[in-house]
Amino acid sequence: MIIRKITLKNFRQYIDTSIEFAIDPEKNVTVVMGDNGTGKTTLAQAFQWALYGKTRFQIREIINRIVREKMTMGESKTVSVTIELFYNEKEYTVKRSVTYKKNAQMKLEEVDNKFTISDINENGEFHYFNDGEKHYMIKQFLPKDLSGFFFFDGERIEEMSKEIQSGKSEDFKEAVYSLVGLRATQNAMGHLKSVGNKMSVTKYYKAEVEKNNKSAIAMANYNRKIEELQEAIDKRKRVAEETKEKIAKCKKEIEECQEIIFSETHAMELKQQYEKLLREIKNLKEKRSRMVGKVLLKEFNNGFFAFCARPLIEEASPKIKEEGAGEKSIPDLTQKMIYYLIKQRKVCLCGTPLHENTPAHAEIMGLLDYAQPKTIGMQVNDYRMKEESILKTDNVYMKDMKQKMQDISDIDEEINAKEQEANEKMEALGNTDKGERAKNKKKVLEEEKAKLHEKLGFLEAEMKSKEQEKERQETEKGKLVITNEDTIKNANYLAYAEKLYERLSENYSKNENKYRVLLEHRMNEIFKTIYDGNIRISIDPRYRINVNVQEEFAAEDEVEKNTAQGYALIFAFISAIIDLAKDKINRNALEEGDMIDVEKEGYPMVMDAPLSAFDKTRIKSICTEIPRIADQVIIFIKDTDGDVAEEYMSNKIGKRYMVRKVNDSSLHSEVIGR
Amino acid sequence: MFDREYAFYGKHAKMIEKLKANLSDEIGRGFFETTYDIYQVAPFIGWIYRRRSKIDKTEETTKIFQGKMMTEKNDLVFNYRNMMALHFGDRSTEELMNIAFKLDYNDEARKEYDEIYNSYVLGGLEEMYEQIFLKDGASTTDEYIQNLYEFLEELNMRLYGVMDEDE
Repeated sequence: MIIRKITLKNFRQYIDTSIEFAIDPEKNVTVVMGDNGTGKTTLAQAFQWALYGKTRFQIREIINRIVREKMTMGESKTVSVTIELFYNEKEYTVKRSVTYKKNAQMKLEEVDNKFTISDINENGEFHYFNDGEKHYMIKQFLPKDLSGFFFFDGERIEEMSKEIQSGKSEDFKEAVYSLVGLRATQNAMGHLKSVGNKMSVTKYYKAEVEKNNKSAIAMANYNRKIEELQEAIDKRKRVAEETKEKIAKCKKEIEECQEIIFSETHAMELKQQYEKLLREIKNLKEKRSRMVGKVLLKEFNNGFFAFCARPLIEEASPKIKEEGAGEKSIPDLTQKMIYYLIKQRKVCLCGTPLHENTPAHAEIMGLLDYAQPKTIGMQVNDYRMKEESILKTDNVYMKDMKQKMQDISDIDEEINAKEQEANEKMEALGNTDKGERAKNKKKVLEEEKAKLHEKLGFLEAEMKSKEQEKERQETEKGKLVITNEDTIKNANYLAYAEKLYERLSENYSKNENKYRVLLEHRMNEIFKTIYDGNIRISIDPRYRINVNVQEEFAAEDEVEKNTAQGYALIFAFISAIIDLAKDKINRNALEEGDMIDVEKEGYPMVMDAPLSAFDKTRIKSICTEIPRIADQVIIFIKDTDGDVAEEYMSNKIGKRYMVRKVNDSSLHSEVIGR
Repeated sequence: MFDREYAFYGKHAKMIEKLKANLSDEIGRGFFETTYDIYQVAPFIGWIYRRRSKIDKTEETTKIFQGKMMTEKNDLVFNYRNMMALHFGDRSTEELMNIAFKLDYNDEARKEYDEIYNSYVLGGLEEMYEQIFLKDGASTTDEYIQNLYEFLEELNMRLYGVMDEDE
């Protein structure tokens, strides 16, 4: 960025002023001279206000005071600073403005503020950048966090000097990092991989993959189990179907045998008696099932708890005593409150610390007996009521159960008797040879059918349990939502992120070290020329700048060392990072070919009154060196120093200006060419 | 206490399922109606047989939902107090009362006692399951029911000191 022109309207002392700056590479210095109090610092700061909206004024109001006083009620006035600059061989206009209006109370109100960046397109029309582009363009011109090194005044130099002397280095480190792109690399690395608990790209995908992996394994296990269970179920289903078919066949054959037996029997009455018996047996069996399910098992379930618990409650009950605990509860004291005091607050309401094993702690714990929702007395009372409700019921459970078992057993006997009778009747039926054969066959078939039924029952029970097991597995499987596809995708992302981090990290450590060494080297070179050859500057990995004076020269004047040396260090530092930035751009151009949009960009150095601290020899060195390093130098200087500077820079000065008060007013200044 | 859902895991969940499963279509029910019915009685069975067991956390399966736990909270608290009184029967009244009555709102301090309680639940469950399904090589419904009845007789003797009248 090279600054061509600045125009100030109603900006502090300047009602309407513009300055064109020297932009010729051979004569790149602009000197603006003026006495103290004429408004040099305002000019210097107008740059930062226009570009970044920041000022270092003690009085925050930026509107010219004469203009403000003249404003009538309801009248508006706009303060603006416009900078015309070159960047990448193109001209841009940056303009910041604030409009004020005088209200009914005759006070100023800010009614509008604007920030625009424009260029001129191919058709010669103004083109205004949108908000996002503006942000980007400013970064391109000169990032805000670096601006302090390019626009600076005496005060700022003082600060930087102090920082250097006290070993604080953050600003320098930041400057270097952001200028050469290390900060961006560092941010990218932090985003990809973080230390500690902070979430990062790799951490996220690692967790996802791990989760997915575990899930994938679990999923495979569930699938395998489900498959096995399904196979087992299918196999049993087939056998069950076969068994059912066999049973049906048996049944049919039994019926056929029965028909033969009946057809071989002539006594009708006998036949009817036998059929009646079969019906009775069937009914009895149904009755028995009902008795087992609806009576025996139901009563077992309903009374089992009390049956088991009753004697145990009787055993436990005498041990439960409300010793010393009266019925009185303390109003509004709750158990929750006591636990809060003991565990979280650890201090009583009265301020006594509640450490364990102290009388205070014991006292508070003792209050639990009297605390809501239930005092110990109430709790024991509840217990007694519950106890009574269980103990008062008659203990007839076992007797009942025994009776039910007996009833079932009675039915069994009845069934047995009927079956016996039916068998006997069967014996009397169909007493021919054919009938006898059918009877024998029927007997065999019935035994077979019973066995098949048993087998079927067994198979069905197994199937049921396997179905249940399968259902459980499927439920568990359903909880795993991660698919295999996600695993692969996340693993790929993780690999990309890790590779990217690796590349950035390699690049970072290589460049970090390289730029630090380069910076140190350049700083020493420049420092030697502008200040003192006997001082060696070193920069440690945390960017702390150390000044090592060779011993024989150590007895220098302390004041001179603290101010001038500090200033010199900053010049050296700024010069060095400008060099570094250029170097990086050139290097990129070499290394990356056309891959990066390379600009051979210049940097301005806008300085406010920096020379007073130096002696003449050093001023000479600085004046010779700075125009060589920076592509553009704009220097605001008081007359006495200015003369010296002009003397040493004369062949570099392209423009000369003088700031002076208008009508000797401290509220109005103007800039005139010399 | 007893204000969260309770889950049986792994083998214990399977035992619960079998104790609840229909014995046959004709009978139309199992030994217990609900998981809660088992959970309620199990610690006492565990105590009677001095049987405790550890959680088998292979896979989560059967639960008693929070709503049911909250509904039955009073009964469960009563059981808890009894179980603590039985288990710590040799402690002084003060100690016993501290454990059984004064930790209702102190989940952290109650943790070790909850574990004891739960170990009886699981031990009792295992005992019931074995008594009904595994004893005497039972494999048919009638044999299971016979086992159940014998189990009841044994309990009757242990708890009430009564032998079957016929014996």
